[in-house]
Amino acid sequence: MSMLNEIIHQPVRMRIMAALVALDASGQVEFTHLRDVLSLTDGNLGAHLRKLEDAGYVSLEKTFVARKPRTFVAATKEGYQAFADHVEALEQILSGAEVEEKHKA
Amino acid sequence: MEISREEAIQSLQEIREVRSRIRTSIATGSTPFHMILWGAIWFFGYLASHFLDAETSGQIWTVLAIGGSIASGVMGYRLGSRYRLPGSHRIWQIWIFFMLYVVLWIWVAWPLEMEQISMLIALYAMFAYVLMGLWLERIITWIGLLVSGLGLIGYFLLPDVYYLWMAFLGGGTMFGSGIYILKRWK
Repeated sequence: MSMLNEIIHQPVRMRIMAALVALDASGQVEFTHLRDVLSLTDGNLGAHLRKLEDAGYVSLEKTFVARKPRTFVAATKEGYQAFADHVEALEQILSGAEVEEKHKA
Repeated sequence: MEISREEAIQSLQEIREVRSRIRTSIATGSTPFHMILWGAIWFFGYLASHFLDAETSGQIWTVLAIGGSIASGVMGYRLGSRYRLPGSHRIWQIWIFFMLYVVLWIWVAWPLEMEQISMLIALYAMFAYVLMGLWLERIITWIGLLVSGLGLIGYFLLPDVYYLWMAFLGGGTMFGSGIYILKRWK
């Protein structure tokens, strides 16, 4: 049985992970675009990305595109797995609650 | 760590919503911006064809087409580089080959009237939108079919005001659709 992941369950981090996992394997998104899609501020996104990076769930790559510095973010293999486990745990809560309700009925 | 059933439902809904937003953003990329740009180009180009002589309007079309192609390339590069995804270069390759084949088809069919050339190019471009929409987002297909239909009505039924018709209904529909998609997908 999968367990809820406390690092990922925080609402902003969960949305960040959902966005990164939607890119599929080896996909990366630019920091500023991720910030816009999730309606976050630079500071807020940066702080949560650091937490996720410390946990080994995301990787950041600083690069230059047309001579301008840009940061690309991606989920790591561990991140994909941790997020999949977290979603499974959420689904189990739902199916468990449904079974309980059926028993009560 | 324990959460309620309601919290779990809300979390899963948020995850689905974020995934869908990201996938739409990837799928559509710079499409609405291209629609706005080319809608405006069609509008001014067809207005020139209606009101000015063939030589002047031909020069205006040449400038608009070259400027539009450069602007499209820059826009596609800048907006497309927000994501790094395996296989994302394929859409560019499709458009390049598509444009090459448009030139070949017109070459083979030459000589053609100006109205025929403009209708063929419009139909080829909308055919690409129809196919792209089937692959990416269905609304792009509907826009492609709508502009094709409007263009054909103007070409066959309203030859006297064909260019004016294309300026407002072809260019206008493209421009308006681009704005609509941009707002809807924001």
